[in-house]
Amino acid sequence: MRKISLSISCNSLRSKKLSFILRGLLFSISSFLLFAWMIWSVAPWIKNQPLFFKSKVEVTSTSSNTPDVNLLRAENLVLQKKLDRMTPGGVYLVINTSDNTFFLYKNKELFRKGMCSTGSFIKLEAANNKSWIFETPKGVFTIKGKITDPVWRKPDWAFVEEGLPVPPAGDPSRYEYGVLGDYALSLGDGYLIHGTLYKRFLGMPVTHGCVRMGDDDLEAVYQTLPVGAKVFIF
Amino acid sequence: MKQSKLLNWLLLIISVLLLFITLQYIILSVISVRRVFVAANSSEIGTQIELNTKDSTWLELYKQKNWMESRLKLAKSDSIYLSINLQDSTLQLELKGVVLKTSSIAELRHDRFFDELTGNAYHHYFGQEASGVQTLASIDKVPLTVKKAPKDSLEFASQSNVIDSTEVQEINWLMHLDNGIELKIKGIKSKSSHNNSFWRQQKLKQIKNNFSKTLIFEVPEYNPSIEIYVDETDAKAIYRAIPAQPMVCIRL
Repeated sequence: MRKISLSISCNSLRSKKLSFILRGLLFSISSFLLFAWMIWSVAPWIKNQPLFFKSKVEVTSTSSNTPDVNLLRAENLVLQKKLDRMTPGGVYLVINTSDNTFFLYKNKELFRKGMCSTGSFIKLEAANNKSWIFETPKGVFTIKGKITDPVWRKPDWAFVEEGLPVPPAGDPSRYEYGVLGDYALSLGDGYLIHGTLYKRFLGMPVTHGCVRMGDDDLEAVYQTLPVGAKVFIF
Repeated sequence: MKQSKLLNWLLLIISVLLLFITLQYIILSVISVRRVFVAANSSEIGTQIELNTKDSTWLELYKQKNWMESRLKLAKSDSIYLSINLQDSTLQLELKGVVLKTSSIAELRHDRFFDELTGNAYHHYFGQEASGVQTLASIDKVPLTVKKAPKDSLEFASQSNVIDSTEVQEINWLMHLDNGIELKIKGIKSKSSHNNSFWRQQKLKQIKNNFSKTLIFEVPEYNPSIEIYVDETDAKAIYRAIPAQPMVCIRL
C-alpha cells in the first residue's frame, strides 16, 4: 500500500515538473517571438512616425529671398529649352545591351525599333595567358564610316575560339565574305554595326562586341544614319 | 522546488532584460531619425530659400527647377546617370542630356521623414545631384562567363555552344547615396514574392548593425529610404548600364 502511494506521489511530482518545464519553455519561446516581432516590425514602424522624431524639434527658417512664381516659371522654361537642346535634332541610335534592342530616333521621335545582338560577356582564356572579353562598349559614339558588302577580317580570337592555329596577318584565311550582311557602320576601335547569318540569335547577347541586326533593320539604320550621327549604347 | 523557483526567477529576469533591450532599441532608433532630421533642417546651404509650402504651384515649380538644374549639371559629364522624377513616377537613364531609357514607376514608397522636410532639408537631399557610394544587388553587375579556349577544332566541336535562354530573375538593388538616402530599386516581381532573400538579408544586416550599437548605448545610423518598384527588365538594364558610382538626381 505504502509502495503504491509512494509511486503515485512520485508520478505526480514528475508530471508537475514536466508541466513546469513546458510552461517555462512556452514562456521563453513566446517572449523571444515577441522580442523578434518588436525589433523586426514594431521598431521600424515607430521610427517612421513623425509624431516621435519630430516632437519638440524647432525648425528655424532662415531669412527668405523667395523668388516669385512668375520668375520661377520663366527660369524653368529656359532650363527646359536648354535640356531639349541637348537631344540631337537629326537622327541618332540608342542600343540597349541588356535587352538587346535598338531604337532609332529621327527629329526627336522614335522612328524604328527592333531586336539586335550585342556582346556575350564571355571571357575567352587562351593557353598563353592571353584573354579577351566579348563586351559591347557603353557610352556615346559617332558613326565613323559606312561600308557596303563588308568583309570580315578575322582577328586572333576568332581562331583561338575555334581551337585553330592563328595564321599570320594578311593570310587569306583571315578574310570571310558575306558573313556581316549587306552593310556595316563603323563605331571606331573595330566595333561595327552589321548584319548576321544567325538571325535566330537576335535579341540575345551572343556577339564578340559588335552589334548585329536583322537585314531590314540594318538597311533602315544604314539608310538613315549619316556619318557623324550619334550612337548611344547602354 | 527550490530549482523551480530559481528557474522562475531566471525566466522573469530574461524577459525583463529582453523588454529592456527592445525599449532601448526602439528609443535609440527614434533618436537616430530625430538626429538626422534636426541635422538636415539646420544644414547650411549657399542661398537660403524658404520653401513656400503654402503655395503648391510655387513649390512644384521650385522642385522642378532644382531637378532640371541638377540634370543640366550632370549632362556635362561623360557618364550615364539616373534622373528620378517621383512626381511623374519616372526613372530615367540619361547620357549627355539625352534620355536613353524611361521606366515608369509602378509603385513608390518612401519614409515619412521626407514628408516633413523643410526648405534646408529639401535642399540637402534633393537640391543638388547626389553620388552613389555603394551599390548592392541580387544580380551580377557584369555577367561574365569564363570560357577556356579549346585546344583544337575537335574540342571546339564537342563544346556546348548553346546559349542559355533569357532567364527571368528577381532583380533588386540597393544604392547608398552620399547625401544619406538609401535608394531601393525593386523589380515588380519581387513585390509578390514571399521568398525575397535579398531584402531579408539587407534588413537582417541593418538590424544586426543597429543592435550592436544600441547594446553599447550608441545611437544607430539612420538612412531615409525611397523604394521604387519598376519592371524587372528595366531594373536589370538600368543597373547594368550605370557606372559603379553613378550620379543621381531626384525630384520629390
